Amino acid sequence: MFNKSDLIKINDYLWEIPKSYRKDMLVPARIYITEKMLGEVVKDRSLNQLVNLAALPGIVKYSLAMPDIHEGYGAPIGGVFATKLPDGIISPGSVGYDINCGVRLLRSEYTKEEIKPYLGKLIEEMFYAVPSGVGKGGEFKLSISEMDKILGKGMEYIKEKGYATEKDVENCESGGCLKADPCFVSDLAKKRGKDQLGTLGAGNHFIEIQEVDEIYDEKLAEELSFRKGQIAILIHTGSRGLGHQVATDYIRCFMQAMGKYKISLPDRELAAIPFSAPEGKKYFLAMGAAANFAWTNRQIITYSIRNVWKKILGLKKGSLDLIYDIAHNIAKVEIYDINGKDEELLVHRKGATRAFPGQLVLIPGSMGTSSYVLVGTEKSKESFFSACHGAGRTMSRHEAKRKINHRELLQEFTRRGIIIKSGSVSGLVEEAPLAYKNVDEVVEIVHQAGLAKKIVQLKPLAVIKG
Amino acid sequence: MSYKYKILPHPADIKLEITASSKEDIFRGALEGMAYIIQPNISKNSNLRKEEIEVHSMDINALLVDFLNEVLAKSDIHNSIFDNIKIEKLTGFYIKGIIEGRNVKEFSEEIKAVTHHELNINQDKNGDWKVIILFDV
Repeated sequence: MFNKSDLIKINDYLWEIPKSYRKDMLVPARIYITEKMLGEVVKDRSLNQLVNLAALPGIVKYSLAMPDIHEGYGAPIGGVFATKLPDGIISPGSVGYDINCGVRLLRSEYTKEEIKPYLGKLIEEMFYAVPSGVGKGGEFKLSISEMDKILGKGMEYIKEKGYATEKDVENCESGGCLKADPCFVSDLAKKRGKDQLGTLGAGNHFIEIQEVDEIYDEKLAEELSFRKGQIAILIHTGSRGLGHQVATDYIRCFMQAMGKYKISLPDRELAAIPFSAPEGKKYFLAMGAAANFAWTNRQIITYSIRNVWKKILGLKKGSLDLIYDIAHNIAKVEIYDINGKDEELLVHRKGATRAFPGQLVLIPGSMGTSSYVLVGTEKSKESFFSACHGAGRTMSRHEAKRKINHRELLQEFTRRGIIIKSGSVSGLVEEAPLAYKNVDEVVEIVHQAGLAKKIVQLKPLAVIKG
Repeated sequence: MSYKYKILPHPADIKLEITASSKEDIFRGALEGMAYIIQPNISKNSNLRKEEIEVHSMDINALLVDFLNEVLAKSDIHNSIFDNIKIEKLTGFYIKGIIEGRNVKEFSEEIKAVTHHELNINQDKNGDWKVIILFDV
């Protein structure tokens, strides 16, 4: 475990574990955090995991942790690092099992007052239209050839089939399509994904109907057509069993291949090999395919939600516009100025979002708490243009079940006027706000550190918990 | 045949500790423990399902993880929960057997994957086998 004294304070929002902390560190490790929150972070093993990242071959500058950091497996959740290509490593475990887990924001033209009479009906119908929970398949059963097209072309394919508009595609990170090759996705992965398109899954995945509660940047909010009280919908899910299997397959493959490349690591879950190696290239293209599946999944959910919206409200005030869709478990090739020279780097973000200057950054809170829309800045170059992805857990699921009373939790939501739909009592308790850090504090660090600037805060009115 | 398992605290995921009298029982206990996480009460009224399983891995630690991940994939594909195995052969690198379980409508908990994180099967001086497995949920 770490002591605060092991870290050097760079400023009020940034701390560093020097390279001298452990012999195998190739670069320092940095964490965006306040002194108050650091006191909590040192209680779990997330900083040890951050130090492990600093020992990965080919890493440049530093390993980084966002303020929502918590202990994971291999890389910590909230971990970011970049390796120099072509020979720096790629690590499936540092992307995570839920490849391209992400969030998307839809904006309506309705206000809170206008939507109020329909809210219960809307969330009820959405709950039935979008399968949620574990082992719940969707209506879209895919043939192998359709699956390959989705894996290869993502949002582009689903647009051709009439499930997405041109604007939907434009407003997804990377246009909802990464370079991919379905051949490198196993049959097992495809079988796991074949009836999971358009499904929410479980855990911390959700759909929320929200209202714009606070505006921090009037000009940018206006450009996005966001007004106080306006209704939006936030969707949080990923690549489902298909993505989990891709990660499982390649972690297994990399573990066996590491010896060939003389790579030895402190944790097997970090299994990594050079990006330029044949196995590295295959994983990158398989990861791209799983990412395309995740974008398609969120799009099919959007399609189902739009149908419910139209059925209940008609199209008098338009449909739901996709504002942005962002990945928070992914590895991407990006160009950075390193020592005055443009270098191609592979940026791993596990529980962290990309935050390019001018790009929207979506940060969901825990169930029933605030979510935020921010915009990336030039300053976030220091974090490889990355920001946090959510609130970050502080309490184990087990402890949450022990400490939180289901009935009291529901009463609290009712008191706050939030409608909750969930198929699982234990799942609801596990995701209670008390089990998470305070998202307002986490986002404030990102804002104050200058990694991204707050535009609006959204508050939930109705929640479908996966 | 003797094993026991218990869930240990972890900030985000689920840790399962298995103590067993043999290597075979580590695998049996891990399988039953994983089924317990997915669904604490499996209805015995639903159809019994049996599946062959055969896994090769680089060592015993990887074998346990690869075996459980294989079971997890079968669970996902067949909407079944497997809590028992008839082991035909187990070495340090290979397992073959028949897993048995039940068809279910849905699971209580979604396990995304069984991780290799700090996993180490070891035997203490009394001859008991022990392992801690971290599940990504």
